Amino acid sequence: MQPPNHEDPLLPRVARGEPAAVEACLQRYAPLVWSLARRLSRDAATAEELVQEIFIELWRHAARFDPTRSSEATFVALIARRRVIDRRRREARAPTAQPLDEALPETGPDPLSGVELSDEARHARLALEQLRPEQRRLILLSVVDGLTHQEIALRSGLPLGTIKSHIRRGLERAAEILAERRPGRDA
Amino acid sequence: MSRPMRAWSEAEFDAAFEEVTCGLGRAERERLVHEIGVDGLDELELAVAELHVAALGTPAAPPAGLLERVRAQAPVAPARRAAAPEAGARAPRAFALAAVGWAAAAGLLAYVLLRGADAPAPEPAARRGALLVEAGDVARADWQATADPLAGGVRGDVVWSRARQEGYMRFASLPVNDPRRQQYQLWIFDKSRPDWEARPIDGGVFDVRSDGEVVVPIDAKLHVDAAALFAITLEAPGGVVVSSREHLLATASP
Repeated sequence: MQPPNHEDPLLPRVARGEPAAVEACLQRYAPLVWSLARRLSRDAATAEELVQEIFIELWRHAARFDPTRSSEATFVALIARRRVIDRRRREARAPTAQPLDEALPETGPDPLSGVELSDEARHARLALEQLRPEQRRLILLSVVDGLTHQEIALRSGLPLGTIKSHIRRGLERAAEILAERRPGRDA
Repeated sequence: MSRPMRAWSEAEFDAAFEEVTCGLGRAERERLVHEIGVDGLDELELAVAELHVAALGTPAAPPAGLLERVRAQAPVAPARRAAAPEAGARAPRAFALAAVGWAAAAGLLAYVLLRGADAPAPEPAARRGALLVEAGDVARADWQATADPLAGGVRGDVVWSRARQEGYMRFASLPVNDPRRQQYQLWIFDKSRPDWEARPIDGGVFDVRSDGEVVVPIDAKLHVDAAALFAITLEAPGGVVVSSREHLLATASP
């Protein structure tokens, strides 16, 4: 599988209406969009509807992609997350069906091991690795698995204040590291 | 003016994080943006998306058939949507341009032609007019108010172009709503979809902010292949995924 690569963006070509770019975009990002939607959806049927909605949204807003601000994969994930969150907001329900022990174990295999990553994703992974394990685990439970603070507290037994504090400190640190390495800021 | 994340109070950070992971209500989001600025929120959202991509692990292949359904909705030329009518399209009965009146169409055409190339985006009423002039497959239908007392004797019509996947609703006498309490939502019943009567397509939420005629663009969340019925319901702010149809206010059938 070809990793997302911000040096070869497809969305500007999609915005210009190149049919080949539309197909290439689908091939490149469908696994990412599907994985993201499935992880954050309560069932496969909802995830499939979301994937369709996300690609329609992506094609509509392809011209908004700014390579100086993010990689294309991050832009795709941003659009996808917005669509998933918008749907969950309207469903007004708890976001996930993933049990905690499947989300990201504190110990055990690295969920990224063996994955070929784009430069930006490697930087993001490095940012995650620089965090304290508890910060990293709690951030990923929120971001990847869509758990609310309250759900994490219920399932982990950690006090709500501790969870919020870990997430804030970890995200502040991660955001600083990521901001230094954004595509437009590379030397 | 935006403030950096480190300058946010604990409550502001918690609200911002909730917005980018779970989604706040509209009023809460507006308050938050007023407090921390939209740039700060964007920065947090971007960081979260980057971390998400890095942490997803090996992306899984989508189920069989899903890509075909997505592909079927792909625009041939997204940057300039095709306006040509589709021969033999499975659209509902199309209404010719004559149905909306040549005089109105001509006036709107003049408006469109007189707009400068760098003019700001036209209002929905003008875009509706342009659609009627330019698209050859526009279906139109009048709203029929239901017996629900909240319908307020609504009148107006809906126009939809399958080829352009674009449409507009025009209303008169649809009561002004308080978006903090309730919003209108459009549903599009696409008879080409399985279980289409039970699972209409979300056509977007909207508000009516003033008396008199309003024109609202349709924001279909999925490709609409064969619109058989448009329906307006009144829902909680932000709309819903599945409507209880408790307040079904108007329908229009092309």
